[in-house]
Amino acid sequence: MTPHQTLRLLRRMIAINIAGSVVYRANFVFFMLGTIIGPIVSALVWQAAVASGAELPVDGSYLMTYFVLLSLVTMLTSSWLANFLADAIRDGRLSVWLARPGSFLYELAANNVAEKVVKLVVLVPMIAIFGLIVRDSLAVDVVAWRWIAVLASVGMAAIIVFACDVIIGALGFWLEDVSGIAWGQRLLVGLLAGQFVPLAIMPVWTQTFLQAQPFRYTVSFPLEIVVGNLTSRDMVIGLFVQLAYAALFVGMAREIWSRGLRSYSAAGA
Amino acid sequence: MTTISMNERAPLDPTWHAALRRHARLWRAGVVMAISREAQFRANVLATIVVGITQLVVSLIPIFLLFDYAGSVRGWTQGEVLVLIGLHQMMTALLATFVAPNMEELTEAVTEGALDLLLIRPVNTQFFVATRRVRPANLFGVLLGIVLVLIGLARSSGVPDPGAIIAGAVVFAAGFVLLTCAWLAVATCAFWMSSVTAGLLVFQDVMQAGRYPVQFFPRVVRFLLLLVVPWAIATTLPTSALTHGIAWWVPMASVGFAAIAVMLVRAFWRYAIRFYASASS
Repeated sequence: MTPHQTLRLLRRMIAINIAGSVVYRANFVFFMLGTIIGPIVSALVWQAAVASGAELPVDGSYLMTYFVLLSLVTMLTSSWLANFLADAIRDGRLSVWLARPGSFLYELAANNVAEKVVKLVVLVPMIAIFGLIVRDSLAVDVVAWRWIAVLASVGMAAIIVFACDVIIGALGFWLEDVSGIAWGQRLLVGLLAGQFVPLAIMPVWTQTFLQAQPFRYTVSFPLEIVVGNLTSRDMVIGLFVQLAYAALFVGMAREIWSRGLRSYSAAGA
Repeated sequence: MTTISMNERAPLDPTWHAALRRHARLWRAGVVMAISREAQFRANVLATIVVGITQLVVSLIPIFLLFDYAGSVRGWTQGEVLVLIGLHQMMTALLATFVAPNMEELTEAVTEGALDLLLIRPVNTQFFVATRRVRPANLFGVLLGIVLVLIGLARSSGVPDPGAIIAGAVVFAAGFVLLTCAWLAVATCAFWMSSVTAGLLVFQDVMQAGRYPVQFFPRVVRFLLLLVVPWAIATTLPTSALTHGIAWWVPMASVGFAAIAVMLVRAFWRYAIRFYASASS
């Protein structure tokens, strides 16, 4: 398929997936409520710590802004395909896609983008309300061109997370069940990405490792561009490192996926 | 002498104590069956234990960080918060063992019509759907919670007196009943909605807030955690009982509140069941 045909196919798949997702719009309201509850709880807890005299390496407005935007960035960069992909491999549903011109991964990517469009519509008003309530504690002072860097960073973060999920899901070519690995990966990545606690307030002795490891670039780095005091130089270097990690993970995912397909034998294959 | 043929059964004793015994026997049979089922999936049991330990370790990281930066938060020390997290761990493990599997199945039973077969059984349907499934492997989380409570007590107030332990246990038990009722109320909405799975997920997300003392939160959230999703009764109040002691009326009020919640959720179920139109017919 030519790139033009691929893009047209993806556009159609995204449209179909959006139509399918809209049917379950009420569920998305609940899903997004769940997404925002964790950051709200964390924000309130750390605000209580600051009010009790905690001396943090960052100020209260950094924390509040971080947690207000956390659910948005987490949602935009998230992926949920690992278990679906492994199931499709195991029960032979993947076979149908092998006879089609587009890869099954296109369908998963289209589903990812489509659901995010619907989730965005639901989540943004929730975040706006949360932000309005705590507006006095927010500090977003970002020049316009930095927002372009934020968008690029969120896009690359989404690619890294998607590729990671493909790698884990593709282990289904060789393993019976990947749900345990997927769960462990989500927990570990959540911690290393700054979803539970901002990396900036993790202990000093962990900082060198935390700043270098790839999962910082899945959630924390885009947020650091908005709320952190990253210099332009640090930001540009960070974007290039993120691009390198994205290329690395996509390369690994492609390799594992093609090796898996070569060894694939399942019901209906 | 009265003989009963194979096709005739003695009528069920309608007295309340006989009904109570019958339901207790039924629940015990469910537990025995669950244990034998878990014994067949030993790898799954091991995975559940590893998951429980990992989740607990990860949930402790923010707490250790928090108290690295502050000696105490809103009057709570690290030891006291560890006691609270231990109780939260115990509560989530008990809910995961006895409540969660049933709530997950209730939606399916309503939407797919499996409730038909439950309604015709000579048992209280609400009791049966709320208690029949048990996942004993999750009980390991209770042990982890107890260890954490002991560590927290050693780091804070030391061994509480028997009165404080009894008061804490009563409030904790009332908290378990209240949370079960709240969860069951959300699950009962399945009679009107095609799926309440997402709603149940939100309920589980709110559990995160129960990991912290209610004093950490603004008044509105405290109110929600006390009366709507009563995690405050399940974790904050028992911790206060064990570490500082609580007024004599608090356990009594908690039990009263739990009794009212049971009656309300019972009434809600009776109302909801009228809307059941049997998806299987």
